Amino acid sequence: MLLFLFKRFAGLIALLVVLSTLVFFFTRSLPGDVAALYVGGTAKAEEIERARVELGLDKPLIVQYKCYIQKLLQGDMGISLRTHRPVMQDLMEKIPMSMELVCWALLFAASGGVLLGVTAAYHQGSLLDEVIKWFTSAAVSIPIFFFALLLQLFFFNVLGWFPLQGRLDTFLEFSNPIENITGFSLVDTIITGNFAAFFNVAWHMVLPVAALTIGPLGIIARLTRSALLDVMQQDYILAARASGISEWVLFFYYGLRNALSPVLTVIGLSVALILLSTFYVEMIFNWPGIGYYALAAIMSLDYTALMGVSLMIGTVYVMANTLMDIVRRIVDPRIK
Amino acid sequence: MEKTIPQKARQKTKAILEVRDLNVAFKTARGKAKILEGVNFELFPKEILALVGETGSGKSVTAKSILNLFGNYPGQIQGQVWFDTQDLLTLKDAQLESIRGNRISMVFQNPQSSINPLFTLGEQISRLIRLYLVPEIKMARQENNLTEKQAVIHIARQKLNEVGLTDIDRLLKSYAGEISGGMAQRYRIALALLSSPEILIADEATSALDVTVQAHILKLMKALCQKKQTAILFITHDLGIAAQICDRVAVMYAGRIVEVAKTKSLFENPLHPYTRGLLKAVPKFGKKEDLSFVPGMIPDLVHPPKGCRFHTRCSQAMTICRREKPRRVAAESRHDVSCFLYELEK
Ligand SMILES: Nc1ncnc2c1ncn2[C@@H]1O[C@H](COP(=O)(O)OP(=O)(O)OP(=O)(O)O)[C@@H](O)[C@H]1O
Ligand code: SF4
Ligand SMILES: [Mg+2]
Repeated sequence: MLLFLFKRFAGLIALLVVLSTLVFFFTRSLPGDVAALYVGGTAKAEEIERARVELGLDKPLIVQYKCYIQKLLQGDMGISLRTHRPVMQDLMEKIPMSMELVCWALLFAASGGVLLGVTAAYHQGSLLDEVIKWFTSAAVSIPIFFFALLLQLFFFNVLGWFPLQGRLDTFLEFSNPIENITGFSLVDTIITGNFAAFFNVAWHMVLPVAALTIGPLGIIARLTRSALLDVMQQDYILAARASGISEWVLFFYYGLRNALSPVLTVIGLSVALILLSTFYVEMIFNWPGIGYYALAAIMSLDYTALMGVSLMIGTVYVMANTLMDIVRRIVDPRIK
Repeated sequence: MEKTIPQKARQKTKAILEVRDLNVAFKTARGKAKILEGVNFELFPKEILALVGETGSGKSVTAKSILNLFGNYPGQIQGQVWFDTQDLLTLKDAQLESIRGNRISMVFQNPQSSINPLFTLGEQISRLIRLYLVPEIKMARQENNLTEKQAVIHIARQKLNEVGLTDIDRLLKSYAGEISGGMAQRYRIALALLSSPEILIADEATSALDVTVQAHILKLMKALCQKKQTAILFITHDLGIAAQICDRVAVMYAGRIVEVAKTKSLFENPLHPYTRGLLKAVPKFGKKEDLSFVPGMIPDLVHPPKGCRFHTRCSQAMTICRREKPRRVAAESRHDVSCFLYELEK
């Protein structure tokens, strides 16, 4: 186990090195004068030159690279060209906002997906199974941005139950501003007793979380169903049935236990899917998270911010997978 | 399900298990597959009855029907399976569960895949000991002054020792993937015989093992069952093994029992054309051979042949064989056969 963790950690470092190198050279090959972007549109030539020196852009590329890596090792990702703040600081503020969406979506997708999958498998061949099959097929095949727009159309335009976008109503931004403690707005509002903002944020979160949840929910439900049915066909289930174990125990104990490992794997994979989807969803719902930040960075050619975002996403992804692998090792003694 | 045989008459027969008019069909994509058609046989206390037949003849389906083990893929089962004055096919799940593994046990072909890969052997045997051996646990606790857990492990050790397993402490902590096929089958046999059942159904229990291991397991199974007075329904496609260890042999073809007789009588004087074909294919009495030498193929059971199901391959087929089904007749004493050659003789 320790060896495994060590290997995974080394893998993460290697990934980050490769990723940072790639990102560095890729973003440097983008068009546009970085220094000019930094100072803004109406700057004089000498101001641009001063910025160039300040940002170290006058040095050869390889020196810039060395400098970049050195700073990176100290947790310094440079200054954002757009917000003029340290990228690290921006990220630390934005990531929790996205993670809030991601965590809820993952929670709902995993619990709902498993529940639906188990129900379908238990009632295999029944009408209920058929209905679930329909629903999950639709869930996995609908494009996420389209679904997000549908949600807005239906729940905002038609019914008016939920807000169109944003995180907090404008007047609350002034009357009940959210104090930044953990960065997770729901947690922060609870800690500070800011319940008006709490409910308002939760209300704003419903649609984006629903948009993020639907696809992974379908995938998890379908896999859970097929994994369970596959397990129930195994020789050891037949043998257990023949030795007098009750059908209920067979399904809900052996069945679920033996199907756990593939289900956890697909939940782990869903993390990647959800992370990717936050880019669309945050854009559509104007949610001030990392996806929105990345989009703004792309629009303004803010290459330092882009590098930071890529590294962060890579890290989160690898960590999520490692976590899943650890859990799978715990539940499945066959994995050595 | 209609009980054609009244309760009282049942108690008089000596058989411990009586399968009567067992019909099993499965829904398939191509239509209803009539896998079993009127299977009849009886198992007497302490005897070993072989059920032989080529692949796909319905041996495993027969075995599974006895304890209704089809789970989520239920076949359409008709007929009766009399065990101890009750028809197993009419029992509710809870009643069946108290018979499965307790009074009628089973061992299967692939010992390793029959053991749950996620639990240790110790966990799995303990669960069954707790289920079936409550008085023994109590006794072991009193005699040796043990905790409940220790008592269970104590009994597990005894039972695994009984089937010739060694290094049991390590074994109890092992998983299915870590032991050999022979060990796995010994372990399964220990589980099956835990509560000294009246019947053991061994479905190709030794087919997946190599020959020397096979011989050991057979010997073990026979000895243990003799000791515990357990009758065996021994399913195999290996006539040689059937000849070696069984008291009687039932030959199955395409979902019907075509001939049942004492082993000696069947091998010396086979009556049914199918049995004859099989025996011709076996070069020497008692030698291991597969049953694949009768010319032709097992028929499609979605559209089974009318009349005698063997007529498509039978060299002695007559007109009546294509129209009607032969009944089971006692051609000689304790030697039954389903074939018009003998039915017409009478
Ligand atoms: N649950 C099921 N659904 C549909 N068909 C089935 C089912 N179980 C068995 N069958 C079919 O029943 C037939 C008989 O199968 P069975 O397993 O009893 O044969 P067998 O005599 O045990 O053969 P083998 O020697 O290969 O074990 C096969 O054609 C098989 O495809
Ligand atoms: S009944 Fe007819 S077809 Fe069937 S085995 Fe006997 S002779 Fe052959
Ligand atoms: Mg079989």
